[in-house]
Amino acid sequence: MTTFTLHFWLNNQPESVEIPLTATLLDVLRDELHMTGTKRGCGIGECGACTVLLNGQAVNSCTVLALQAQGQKVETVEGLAKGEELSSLQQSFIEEHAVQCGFCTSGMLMSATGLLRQNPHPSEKEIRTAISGNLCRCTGYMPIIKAIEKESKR
Amino acid sequence: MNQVWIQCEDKNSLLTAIAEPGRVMIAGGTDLLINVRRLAPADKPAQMVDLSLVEELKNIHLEGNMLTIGSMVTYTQLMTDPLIRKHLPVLAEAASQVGSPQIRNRGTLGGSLVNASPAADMAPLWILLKAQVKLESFGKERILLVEDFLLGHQKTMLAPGEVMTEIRCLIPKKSVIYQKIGRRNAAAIARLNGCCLLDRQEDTVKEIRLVIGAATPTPLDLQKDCSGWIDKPWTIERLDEVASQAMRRVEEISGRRASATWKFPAIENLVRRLLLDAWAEGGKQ
Repeated sequence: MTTFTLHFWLNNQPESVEIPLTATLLDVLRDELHMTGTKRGCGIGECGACTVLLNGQAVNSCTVLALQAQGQKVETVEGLAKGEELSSLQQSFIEEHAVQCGFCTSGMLMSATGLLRQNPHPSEKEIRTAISGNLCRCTGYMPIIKAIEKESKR
Repeated sequence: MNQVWIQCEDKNSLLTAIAEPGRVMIAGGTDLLINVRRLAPADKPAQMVDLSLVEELKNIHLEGNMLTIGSMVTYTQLMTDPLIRKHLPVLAEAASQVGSPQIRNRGTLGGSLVNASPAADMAPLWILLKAQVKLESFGKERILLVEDFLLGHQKTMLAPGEVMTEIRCLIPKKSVIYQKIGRRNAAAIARLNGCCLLDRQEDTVKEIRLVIGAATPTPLDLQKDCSGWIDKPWTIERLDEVASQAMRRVEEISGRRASATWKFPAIENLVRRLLLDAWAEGGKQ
């Protein structure tokens, strides 16, 4: 099978990987690079579990062709903590009990990271909009909204 | 077939790349990749051309009254663009209701038109605005009305070797009203949507444009059905007449499908609401 070389920046580190033409960014992150923090949910851009940042913008990695990330910057949940030290947004999620089963958490954290970078002090409505593409079936969303609010006030 | 991947950074290299037969263009990928995922490996595209990095196709500009929007403009870009927000805010409003932030960051206006989903969010607006699309191929270009470009469910006038490069429209004198009915606010595909523009002098109607989407394979233009209203006063009877006419037109085209039980009354109410809101807006100077 023909493969193509994808060079891109993954969590600020240069990365190169041989991939098939029609692989999605999610396929490459999980199956080729074994970065399994990014979750595969619906696979059709509806649940947001696979959210990563592409050049700082939240995208569903299941509907980005991996080769479109050529030379671009991709950030995943693995890039948030510094070694063993969680980012303060991750810490807020823990303090506000914003994690239950955890499956939506990576995507929520990335949507929230994208938001706070563009808008460090969002209103509650802006927070709700920013995570409106991320489904959570456990928390009822309020703890997640509170965690993001808490982070925006730190 | 040899597998090919070409990323174009300017329009000329793009037009050259797509001149070869069998090449599949990818813009934001939010529709295309969902379809590709369903295909058997042998049926997946073998030669792809990426449009998403062509900067020339990401501009928005206004010249006189003519707004020109590059086909690779994303919904997020449209929502936040100062020119759009000032001169044609209904485009920003409709864009803000598309999918989710993730989809709006990636999905493009050109990609959506070429995908030609009957439920496309912006399509009724382009038709109401009498927007045109520019289709370019190597050494050639042609301009079509969106109305003529869209042929049916995922069918368009785009010929092999052609790419949509621009969407353009005139800024109308009156505000346009846009409404969408989805299952929920976020990440919902339009079950129905529509838009309306109404110009009036006092109680006399001067112009009405009304288009509804997601009820028929391409958006349903009801401007002619409203023509009996021109230069006549606004009455509640006429409002009811247009609303039930909209329902009949949908039935003629799409028949009574399983969704008709809710969709037909919803169409009537959507049309009423659009006309009422546009009436209020049409009185503003």
